[in-house]
Amino acid sequence: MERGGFHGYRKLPDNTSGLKVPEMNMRTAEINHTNNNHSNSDDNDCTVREQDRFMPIANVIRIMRKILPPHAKISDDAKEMIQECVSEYISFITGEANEHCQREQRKTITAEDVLWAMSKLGFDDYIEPLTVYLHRYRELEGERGSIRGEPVVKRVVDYGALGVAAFAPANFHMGNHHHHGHGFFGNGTMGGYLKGESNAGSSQAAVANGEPYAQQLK
Amino acid sequence: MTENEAVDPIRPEFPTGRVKKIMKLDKDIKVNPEASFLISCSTNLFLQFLAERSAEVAAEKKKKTVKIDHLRTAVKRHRPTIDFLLDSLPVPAESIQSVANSLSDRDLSRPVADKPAPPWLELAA
Repeated sequence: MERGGFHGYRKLPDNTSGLKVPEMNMRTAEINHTNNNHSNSDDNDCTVREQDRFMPIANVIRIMRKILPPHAKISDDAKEMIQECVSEYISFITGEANEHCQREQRKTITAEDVLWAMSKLGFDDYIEPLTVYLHRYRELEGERGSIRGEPVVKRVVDYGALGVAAFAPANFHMGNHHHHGHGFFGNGTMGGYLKGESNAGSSQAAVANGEPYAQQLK
Repeated sequence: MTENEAVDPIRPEFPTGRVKKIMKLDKDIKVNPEASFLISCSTNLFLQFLAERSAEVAAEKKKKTVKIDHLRTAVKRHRPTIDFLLDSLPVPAESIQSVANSLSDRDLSRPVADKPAPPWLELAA
């Protein structure tokens, strides 16, 4: 089956599909995800597990609840539908960014490709906030790269200064920081820092995950 | 932008690994961490947008529960979103009914039961 389009992997939005399990991704587990090019004539083109095709519904619902009026409800099928919409959006932007990247003879999608895709696809409104986020990300990433192994205690002390300085997008060049700029990532991956879970735990655990920076900004 | 919105992207609401998995679904793409970070942020923005617009539609119709039809109406009101999303949304029940009615009016020569659904009715498939 043709899988070039966005819809190749989607389930049928059908009420009888048995997928109306709220809050949990208890969709049918399928076989391991394989590269689409290898799916051959296998008619089981749902070779990706359902839960890998969508954002966790808990995250989706949490974000929606922040926006919706306090007593608003969302129907279960609307929740699932929105989950699919989120994945469609990701595919849409990624596809365009990827094409742009390839046209420029590059193999890896960059931030600029993503921003380009935003503009091309009519999501110009997002470009400004995304640019700000990107600058902050680069700033933090730069610090993280240059100062590893700082003791935890020192990191805690610097959050105030870091929080203030980080808000000025112009300050994203490395070396221009006037604050101590201690890295506060206990682990080695940005992924750990960018963990989505809001963690109100101990400050030490939060430091390892980079949470206090965000908390400082609240 | 409120301060809260300024904070959120630094801790994107979506798990990074999952964002990458979804990105790679259609083809085996390569993406650098910055790019997947931005995709995550923009997806967050998009979801907020969808939620807000859908809630507006529900409020217009004086409903407390946001339903797929409200989502569909919200999508139809935003041109860039229509381009990739409208086909994904199920056709509203009422319009299926009216289509079925008009079909039986027009195609009296063929028994309705034997007629396969026209391709354009399978939008939801």
